Amino acid sequence: MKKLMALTLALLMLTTVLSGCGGTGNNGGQTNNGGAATGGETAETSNEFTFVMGTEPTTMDVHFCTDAATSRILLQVHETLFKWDENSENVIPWLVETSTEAEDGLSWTFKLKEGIKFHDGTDFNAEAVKYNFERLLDPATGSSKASALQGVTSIEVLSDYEVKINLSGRNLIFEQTLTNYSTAIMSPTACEEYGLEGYTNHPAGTGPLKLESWEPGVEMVLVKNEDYWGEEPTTDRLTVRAVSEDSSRVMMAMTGDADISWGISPALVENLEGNEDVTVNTVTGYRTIYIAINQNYGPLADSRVRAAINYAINKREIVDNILYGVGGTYPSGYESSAVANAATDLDPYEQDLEKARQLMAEAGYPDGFDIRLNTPEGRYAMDRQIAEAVQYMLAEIGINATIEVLEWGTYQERMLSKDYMQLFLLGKGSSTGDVEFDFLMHVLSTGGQNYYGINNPEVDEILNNLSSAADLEERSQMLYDAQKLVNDEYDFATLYYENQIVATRADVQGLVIYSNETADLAWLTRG
Amino acid sequence: MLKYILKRIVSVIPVLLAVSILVFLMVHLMPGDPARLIAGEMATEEDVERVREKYGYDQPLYVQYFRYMSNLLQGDLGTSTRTQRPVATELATRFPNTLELALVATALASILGIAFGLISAQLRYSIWDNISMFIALIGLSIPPFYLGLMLMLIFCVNLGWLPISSDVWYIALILPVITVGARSMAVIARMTRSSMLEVLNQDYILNARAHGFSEKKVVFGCALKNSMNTIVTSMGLQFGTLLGGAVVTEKIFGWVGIGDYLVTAIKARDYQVVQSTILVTAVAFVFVNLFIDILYAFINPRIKLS
Repeated sequence: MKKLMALTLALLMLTTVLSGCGGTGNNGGQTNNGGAATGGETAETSNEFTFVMGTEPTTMDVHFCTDAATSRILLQVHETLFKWDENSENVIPWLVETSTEAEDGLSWTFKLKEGIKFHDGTDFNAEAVKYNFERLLDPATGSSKASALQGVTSIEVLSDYEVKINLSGRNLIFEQTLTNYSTAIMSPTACEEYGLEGYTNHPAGTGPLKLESWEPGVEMVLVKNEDYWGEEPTTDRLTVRAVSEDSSRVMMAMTGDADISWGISPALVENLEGNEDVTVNTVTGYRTIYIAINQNYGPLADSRVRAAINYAINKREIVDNILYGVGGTYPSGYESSAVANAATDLDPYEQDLEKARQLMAEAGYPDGFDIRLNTPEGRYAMDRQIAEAVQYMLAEIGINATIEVLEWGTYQERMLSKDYMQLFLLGKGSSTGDVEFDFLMHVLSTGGQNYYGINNPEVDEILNNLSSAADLEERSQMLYDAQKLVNDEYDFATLYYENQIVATRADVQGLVIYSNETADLAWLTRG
Repeated sequence: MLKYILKRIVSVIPVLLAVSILVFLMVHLMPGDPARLIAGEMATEEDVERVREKYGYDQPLYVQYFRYMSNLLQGDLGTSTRTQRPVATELATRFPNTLELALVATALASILGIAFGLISAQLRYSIWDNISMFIALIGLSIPPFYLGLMLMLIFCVNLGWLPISSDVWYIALILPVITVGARSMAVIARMTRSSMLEVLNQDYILNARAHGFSEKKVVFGCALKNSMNTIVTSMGLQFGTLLGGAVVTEKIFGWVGIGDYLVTAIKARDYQVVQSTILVTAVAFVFVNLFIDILYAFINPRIKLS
């Protein structure tokens, strides 16, 4: 027994030693709260904030960022040449003073703002822009985001603060393209000094916050950039942490362990309602959630069957009940209304079971048919539950759907095979913030993510002629026509536009949430 | 004993080799394209191809395996394709945390489990037996995701006694340890009870009592000592399992261990992380077993290691 006691004590002592000297330096495995949560008087009155989200930032190298969560943090430290305004409606020049499109449309010249410095003291100038764009395009960099500058053939430095970008074809929305996080500017000095693998730990952008410390997997601390060129940041310190469990993030907002909890599950919002200490912010995002219809599968090639599916699904019920009225916005077209040039007056096809049954009969399926309905689980809010509701709704018109849940990696592979999936739940967005990107990927007959066998020559023609549009207005009309054609053909059953739900402590002011899932976190105050 | 230990360590090598091949094959044969997952859902086909080339996923499987093994033998666990950081660095942050949680949870679960088991065996069919076994039943039945969230809700949100996250290491440990330790405690308690009951029915216990030994000496000196092998095995298994990471607990409490890390890597097809993490866990598990073997001889000198 004595030996057992000794053994147990030894284990406990070893643990104490491990805790004292090991791991994270703060408190063992759990991440600390950055001072704001339990910090009493000082934290309450200072502009120090704790920001939690579901996943941690994976990199601080702009060219290796591939996810929205990372871009959200990356863009506090780095800035793009252009930026969306606070309502995500108009593109505004940010690091750029003026921009001019060449008459032939094959180049853009940007006059850059002067007097801006990167966090490492390097000047922001035309050379820096050239260096960054060439780094992104260089195959040796191996960035998976090089397509953000698709069509760029070369970059010329005209003077210290003037840069000319040459294009292979006209791009009317080139300024908008440069709001993409992949085109944010890093210090060339830091890039050279630390190389492709080291920059992530020594990021130097021009942003309002700069990196103070980062313990991957634990927390990242950003502090105010005292030399910021624009409006003085008010956030003194921002601690970024990842807490993957939805309920934990909600509870952290309730207890004050987090000042901002990003990504609240719709099912949990009601727990925050009536809580005077917490404010729930909802912004419609870029993502559209839909039931994809594979036209390569027999009955689905018939547009009357696709129409019947559209009329069978009660989208309002999905938004109001499954998403608790907060998780999604009822559709008004083919693509999220937050995306530029998205049509917002197309028929969302309200549920009409009579019409749906009639269409099924006309198509030669009065008794319906069997089909597989695939869904991921946990990728989109309430995805499986929505698929189950759709299954029930389809049964009303005789379509007997069998649900198959697949893990995301497998899901992607099955979609690519193009003949496995029949009906499947999917989300799509636009990395450029314009509906064109989505069309080129999902609707163009040769589109890389056209998993649905859509082959509409009329739409293809519009897409191929977009660059010849006289101006933005004409281009916008062309995109509208394309969306209408897709909607009229019932190519998708659009369910809703995903909302971003963010909980903040009631005294936190100044948070700006953009539709592209990024945010301004540098001008937060307590009031 | 030294010879035995060395022999056991050498015998670990083929085990690890087999583990490496098995894990390599398993992750590579899983459906899902790592290049596509790395590139993100809005990537173009060109982007995906660029990633495939960069990480050598366009090479034949055996080339990828030999490259992995040759790096491994040079002490390089690879680089995470998801975070672009060396896997060794990431494991160095996470593994000590997993070890810490596993050690404290196993230690406390052992103390409480043995105590409940002893009470239960000694006071068989009494109210104390029922209470002890009821607690063990709860520990065994309640899923960690529920227990963790309930503990957080009660102690952090409703009562406000504990912060959800804390700078003080032992405060940060309280709720995660209870969450992961509850099940281990229950297993050890039930194991202790059954093992003690078996031993207490032996003739030598009757003999000891007939010789007038005090009940304390009979229980602790004879019965518990002879039950220890079973109990220690159970403790070792619980500890070894926890070394693989406690995914749910880590998720709930934001604990930076290897469980959540591994699951995230599997979802992202981050091959290097999956392979290396499983290998490190396998090594740890093998050494825990070795330690338990040595412990047998320490507890009961009649057992010869050879």
